[in-house]
Amino acid sequence: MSLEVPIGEKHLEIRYTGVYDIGGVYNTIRTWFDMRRYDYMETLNKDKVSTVFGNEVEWKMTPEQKIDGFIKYKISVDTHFYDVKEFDAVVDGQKTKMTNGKFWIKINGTVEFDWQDKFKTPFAKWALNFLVKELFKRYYRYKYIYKLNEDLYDLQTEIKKFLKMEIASNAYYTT
Amino acid sequence: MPEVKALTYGEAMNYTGLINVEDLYKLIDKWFRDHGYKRNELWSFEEVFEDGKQITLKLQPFKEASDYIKMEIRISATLKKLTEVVIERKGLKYKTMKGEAHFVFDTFVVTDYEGHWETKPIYFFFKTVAEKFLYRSYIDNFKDALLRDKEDIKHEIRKFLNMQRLGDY
Repeated sequence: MSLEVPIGEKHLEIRYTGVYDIGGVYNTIRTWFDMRRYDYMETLNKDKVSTVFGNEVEWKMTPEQKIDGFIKYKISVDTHFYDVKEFDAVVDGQKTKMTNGKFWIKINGTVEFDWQDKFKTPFAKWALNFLVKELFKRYYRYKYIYKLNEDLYDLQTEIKKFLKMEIASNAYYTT
Repeated sequence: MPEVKALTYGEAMNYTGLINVEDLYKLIDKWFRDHGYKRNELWSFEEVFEDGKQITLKLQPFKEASDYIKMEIRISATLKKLTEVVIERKGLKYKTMKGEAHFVFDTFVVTDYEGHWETKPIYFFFKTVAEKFLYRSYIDNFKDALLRDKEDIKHEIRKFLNMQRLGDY
């Protein structure tokens, strides 16, 4: 049975109300995962006609990346778009489809130890817990958990930069 | 469960005038990075209303001062009625924003954040006695450092906003 350690106590969240390009948001997220060679998976892609103001769109992405035979990164991106109604607009001299509405994006991550389920017996499970949470706690924290945390903030910054939000900088590291 | 002590709670600061939001956010982010705090962004909301943009930000960066004590500073910022304006300084035109800003500063000291001394009642008892009588000055040093950090970041933000107002840059 694998051991999953969550990154942080709370997920990262972006909420935005205004004009945006919904296709561009999807491409930004998808490109970010592809550039970092995550195995992309989408568990939910819903487009529902809800009100006269527009559709309701939901995506749930759960990409994973196997770091080695023992550790795997798992990221979960939940998005929910409200009042999605596309209209034609000219942006930077090019005609594109834009949307006026609101949405939120929640980004979360976990580091999975023993994703191959080799530690099966009760003693092995205890040993796995002891190894990860006591013996090599700082090693795993600084080498893997903080690294994934930085990656999540980088993804959040990329999305904010695409939306041209005012609070879109990241002083902790630049890519 | 770790013990959280709030040193200051609800310290507010208000400002109305010119705000370069991008540079202000960079200043806060860079200050925490330079002082060894780890990033923890709880909220980042941006909404467009009829009277302007509204940005709601809640940051709670933390510093693990030791394996027993963690220092946290929480900054809740609400920037309202932000509209773009063009100002002229020394013959050059700059785009910036104008609006209202409301900041709230809270500071917390978290002891036993890894939860080692909560597993048994006798451990909890020893921890409480040690904190109250044996390690009081040790913990107080970190409390003083945290309050200094809070005043420093507050002063930096005030200085940044006042610089914009006076036009000296």
